[in-house]
Amino acid sequence: MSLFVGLALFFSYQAMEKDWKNGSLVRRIRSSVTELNTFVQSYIHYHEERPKRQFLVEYDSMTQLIAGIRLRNPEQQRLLDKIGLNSESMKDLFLRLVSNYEPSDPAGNAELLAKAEERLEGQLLIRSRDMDADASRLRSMVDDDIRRAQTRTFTLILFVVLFTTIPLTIVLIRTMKSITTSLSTLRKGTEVIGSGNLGHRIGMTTPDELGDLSDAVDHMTEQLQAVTVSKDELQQEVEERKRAEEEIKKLNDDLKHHVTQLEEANKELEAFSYSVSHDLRSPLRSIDGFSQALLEDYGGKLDGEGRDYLQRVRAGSQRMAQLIDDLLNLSRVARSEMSRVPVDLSKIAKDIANGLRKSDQERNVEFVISGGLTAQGDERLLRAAMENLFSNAWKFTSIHPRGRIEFGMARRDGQPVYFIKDDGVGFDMTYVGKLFGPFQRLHSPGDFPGTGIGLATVQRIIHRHGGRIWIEGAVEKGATVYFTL
Amino acid sequence: MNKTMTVLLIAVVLSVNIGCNRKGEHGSTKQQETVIIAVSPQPVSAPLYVAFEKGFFEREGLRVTLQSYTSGKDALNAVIGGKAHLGTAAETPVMIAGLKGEKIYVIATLAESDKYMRIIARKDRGISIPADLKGKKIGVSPGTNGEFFLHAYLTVNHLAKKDVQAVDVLPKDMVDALVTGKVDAVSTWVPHTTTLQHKLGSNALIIDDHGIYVMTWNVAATQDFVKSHPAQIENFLRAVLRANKFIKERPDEARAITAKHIGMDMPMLSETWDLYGFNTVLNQSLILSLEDQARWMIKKEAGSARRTPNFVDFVYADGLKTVQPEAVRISGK
Repeated sequence: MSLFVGLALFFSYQAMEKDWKNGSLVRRIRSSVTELNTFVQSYIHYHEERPKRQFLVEYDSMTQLIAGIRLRNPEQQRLLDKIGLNSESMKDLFLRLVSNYEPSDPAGNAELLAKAEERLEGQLLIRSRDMDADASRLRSMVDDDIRRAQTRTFTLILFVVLFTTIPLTIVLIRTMKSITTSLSTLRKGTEVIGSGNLGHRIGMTTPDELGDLSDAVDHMTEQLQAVTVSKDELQQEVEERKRAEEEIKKLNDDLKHHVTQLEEANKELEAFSYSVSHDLRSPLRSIDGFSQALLEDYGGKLDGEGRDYLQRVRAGSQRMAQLIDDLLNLSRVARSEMSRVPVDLSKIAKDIANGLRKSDQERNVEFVISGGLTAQGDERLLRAAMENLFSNAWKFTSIHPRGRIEFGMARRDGQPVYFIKDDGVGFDMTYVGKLFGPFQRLHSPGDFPGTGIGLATVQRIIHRHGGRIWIEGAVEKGATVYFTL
Repeated sequence: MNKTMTVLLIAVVLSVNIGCNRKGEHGSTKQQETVIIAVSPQPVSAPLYVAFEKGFFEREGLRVTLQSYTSGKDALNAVIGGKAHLGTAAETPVMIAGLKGEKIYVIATLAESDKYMRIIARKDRGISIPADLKGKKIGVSPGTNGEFFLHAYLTVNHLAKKDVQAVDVLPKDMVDALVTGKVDAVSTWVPHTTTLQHKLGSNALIIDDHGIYVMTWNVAATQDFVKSHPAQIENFLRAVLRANKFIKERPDEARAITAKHIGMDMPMLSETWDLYGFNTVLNQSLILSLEDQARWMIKKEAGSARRTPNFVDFVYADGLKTVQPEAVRISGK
């Protein structure tokens, strides 16, 4: 539609321009016709050279002008052609008039010449008037064309203005209304959201930028709501943690209190144990000493059964003394100060192995000790622990003709785990929980001597180093003690 | 019920009104006026024949009767004599009527041509250049533009009237007069000129000096008729203008109609058809032409006390001005 109107305007304007051009040319023709008439009149009156020459110049000019014009309207072109023909006749008549006035035969009949002149003049005037009327008519027609073209162009412009402005205005009003409505919805929506109702959604579905904006606001509200919910949850969690921390703190305080109480109780107990052990040693020594004196001084007066009793008394008191020593050791391990230094565990193991070999050179026991195993710890305590463990292994392999004791290190979960492994009598894993309890024994003292304090002491040393200790084994398959530091 | 009746009544009144207006637009209910037109059967009368044949007169409410006259002079005389309401004539008979003081009006010029008049001469009578006309018998119809054309031709060629022997010949006898050798040449108009060219063949000398005379073919009526029938004059002119349009748009059909009315062969008519500018006008040049010929006529009538009348008073321009204003180019009209 707009292309059609645009083309129509273009062609209308072109036609108008053409009409203007033609109008201008036709006005010049009209002017030429008037000039020709003036020159004819002037020549008829005065028969002078000037109007004659000017007539001919003007005639040539007008002829060229007419030849250069092509009019669309056939009626106008016909009139133009007629003006051209009339001007030709005029020129012919004019030249005949000139020739009549300037006869080649001066001796001609003057009366006839005068009559001819009069006739030619009459015709010239008629022709010029005719031509003038035609030029005037042509100009009117072209002017009418110009007016029509102007009206047509104006109508087209009016049409364009009406048929573009009105729809544009309608579209503009509609758009404004739509925008205003959308903006109002947006404003109300954002006010609701701004008041804290994050569950509210604007929900505008218009397919434009405002619709997009509504979507963005809704999305933003959704995000905001999610963040706000998380914040609430976070707040709740913080409060819970605070409560937990307070609980922990309270428990910790309770624990500290209990620890303090426990430590105090423990100290009291250790002091008590120490004093009891220490105080018990003296009567025990008396019992043993007097039993020995009795045997030595009065052994002959006693029968075999009496002596046996005394021997049992002595053995009991000695075992009790040993028990008391072990208890004192255990007590010392718990109480002694610790100084952490790099400790060469391999060397300690070798020293202990040598000592054991020397204690009973008849035993056939193979020691396999990994070299270069070191750890941070209290050397005295670690040595005590390792002596206990090696001693156990030496003891529980004693009933086998050949034995093997191995000290080494393995890695579990990236941490070094030290172990002492033997191929002795082993034990039933059912009772593994009893092994680290003081005075707990899986074998009778007749089979294997001991007080049952050793492993409890070792466990305490390892625990004091912050490590763990456990035992794996099976009956007649030996046992392996693992510990970490 | 009353409301329905009112609506129906309005509808009936409206449809009656619209019906009346439509009839008025088409003019089919115009009261038919009888108009007699005296026509000289010449090609320049073509607009009247076309308007007649194509029903343009009827459309304008004119019941036209065409009366044929051998010359414009006779046709105008029929108008003056009350035998016809309108008549076609060249400016010469109009000029003569004006000199005589006849109360006539020219209401329009139907056509103009500067090639309408010719002198046809017989070569076998020793005529090969204009000067050879000297002493020859030249057939001419007095009171027609044939006579004026002969005068103009002789004058511009420095010949006096007495140098030739003018013989009165009626227009209808013009062809025979020359063909039979009753005269040596004739000064006449189409279609006689064309007929003579064909009949004489190579024996014909055609003297065609179109610079010296422009023939105008006019429609005239008595002043009484015009004054009492201004609407009919306008209707007549509308029909003629429509005929002019038809002639330009459908020239073949227009030629056929004209040929039928003037009794001329189509090929022969076609030869001269382009010579006539069918353009209904009223130009100042008509006034000048009438005056020019009036002066000639007065001089011809030696001792005449008549003076050149003001021919503007013999022109009725209101009708043409009403139907086509730009067609009128006469100062004071």
